[in-house]
Amino acid sequence: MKAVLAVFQRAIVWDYYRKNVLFLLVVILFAFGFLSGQEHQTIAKQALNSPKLLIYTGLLWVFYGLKTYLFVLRSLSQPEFRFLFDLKLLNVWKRIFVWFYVSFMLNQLTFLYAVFMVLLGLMLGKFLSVVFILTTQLVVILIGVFVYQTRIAQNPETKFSYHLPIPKFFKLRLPALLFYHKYLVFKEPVLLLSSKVFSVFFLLFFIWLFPTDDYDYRLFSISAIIISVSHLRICSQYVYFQNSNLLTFRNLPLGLWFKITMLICGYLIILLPEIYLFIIRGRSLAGFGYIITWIVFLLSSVIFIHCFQYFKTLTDETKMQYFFFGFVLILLSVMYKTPILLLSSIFLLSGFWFFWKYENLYEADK
Amino acid sequence: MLTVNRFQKEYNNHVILDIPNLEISKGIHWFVGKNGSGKSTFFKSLAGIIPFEGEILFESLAPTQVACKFLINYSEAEPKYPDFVTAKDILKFIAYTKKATDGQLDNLVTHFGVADYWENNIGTYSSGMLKKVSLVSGFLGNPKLIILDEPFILVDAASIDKLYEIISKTQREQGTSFFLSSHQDLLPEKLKIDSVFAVDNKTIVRI
Repeated sequence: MKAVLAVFQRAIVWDYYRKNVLFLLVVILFAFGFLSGQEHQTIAKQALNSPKLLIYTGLLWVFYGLKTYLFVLRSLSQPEFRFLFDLKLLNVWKRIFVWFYVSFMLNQLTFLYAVFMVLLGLMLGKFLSVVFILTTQLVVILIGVFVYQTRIAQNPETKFSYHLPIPKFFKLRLPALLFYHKYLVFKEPVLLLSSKVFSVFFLLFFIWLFPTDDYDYRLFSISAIIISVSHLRICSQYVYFQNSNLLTFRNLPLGLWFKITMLICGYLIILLPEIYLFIIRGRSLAGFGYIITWIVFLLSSVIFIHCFQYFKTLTDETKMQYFFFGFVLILLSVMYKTPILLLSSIFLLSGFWFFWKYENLYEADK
Repeated sequence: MLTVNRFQKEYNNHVILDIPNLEISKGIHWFVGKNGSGKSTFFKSLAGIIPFEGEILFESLAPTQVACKFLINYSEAEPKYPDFVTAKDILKFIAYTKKATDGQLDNLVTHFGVADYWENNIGTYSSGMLKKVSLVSGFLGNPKLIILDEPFILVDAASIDKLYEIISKTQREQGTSFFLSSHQDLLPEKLKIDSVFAVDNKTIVRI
């Protein structure tokens, strides 16, 4: 049994943490870089005292769980992970144990925070809240067990899909600009939803936090960096979509600026929820000029992430390392008061350069 | 019309195609080669879809240049489009970018019988229906070279006749050249082929 657990640990758990290192780093940096222990206690106490806030916290954990389920399902659909279906050879209780272990390990990020809240809840005598927290964590883990167990009972060839029924009003003529958006809504709804929930949550949290003694508008600029990082997967999926489903479009006589305009408009639409939210909630905190600057900064960083994907000579892991160091560098630059318009210009210029230089040379793996 | 110099294409450090030198004049040309010989790779390179080493010049233009993409159209052997959009969405966009004249798209979809289903999502199409969408896209605009990769597979006999008809007509009226490919040795009977090229042993030679 130990050997089986080790295999699943290496194939799924380690792979998950390796591929999500940037996302986890953002969360950890945010949680422990900007908030002190005292502030964590205050937030946790507020949640323990307010059922509404506790439910929101629970929902966030469920969304994180969703991210982990999606990852495992994706892994299981890949040919190199077919051997994991051999788990079917074990009896049902052993299989459940393995999946429980995998699900538990993947949810460590929220589980450890839940433990902290449980301890605080016990000290404060908030037993009902403690029961809620433990139940939510258990449900998140058990849903994972159920999902994985169901998947492994199927044929490995069975493709996991989450097609949504297409309402009639969506059958109007669709401009090419919106092909990817429709793809996200109908083919990758979980990716879209999880990315959006995280970025909207972080944005709302930063708006709620503002102003602090230590940070001024830089707090909002940091939120823009976190939002763009949470769109990393949406960006890489965009490039994949264009090069798998619309490969013949490369035969179309589209000029560089036409393509770039399509890209900017495409991401503007993807980022509309965050932009709208920042305009509505942030306008009383920041001036109109800063709001425009913030939108440009957000858009330019997402476009840079997209264009960097065309670097085909780098492996995905090397790209993640570049993103990791780039993220830290940009974060420090913002903290040391580098004007975000300057950073936006660097993002846009270098992004367009990557696009101009490598877009034509990009080729999906054969 | 077309000049190829020191063309090389490799995947995972494995050379697929190596053409030291090749010149092709106007006309209808037939490329024959077994599966995996590199016909589609050559065509995709020529259409500016995939990168390659060396030089391809079509009327002094490189395939990646925007001006060249107005002159060369490509229809895939096994087309792949997003299954949640309609052929109309795809073809309208292609017609717009290729600067197709008014009514050209309507005439083509009627000719190939695509108009009957082009407002449905691509996911509901059979492979033959999808192939006809790809064939329509190949004729849009005012190209000087139309590349049809395996044009006679997947479609029914009636559509093959329509294809012969439109190829002859387009060549006669507009002087458009055609590159057609097949993995079978049999030449199309109803078309006047100007030359045949064999795609074999990782290169292309005129027969």
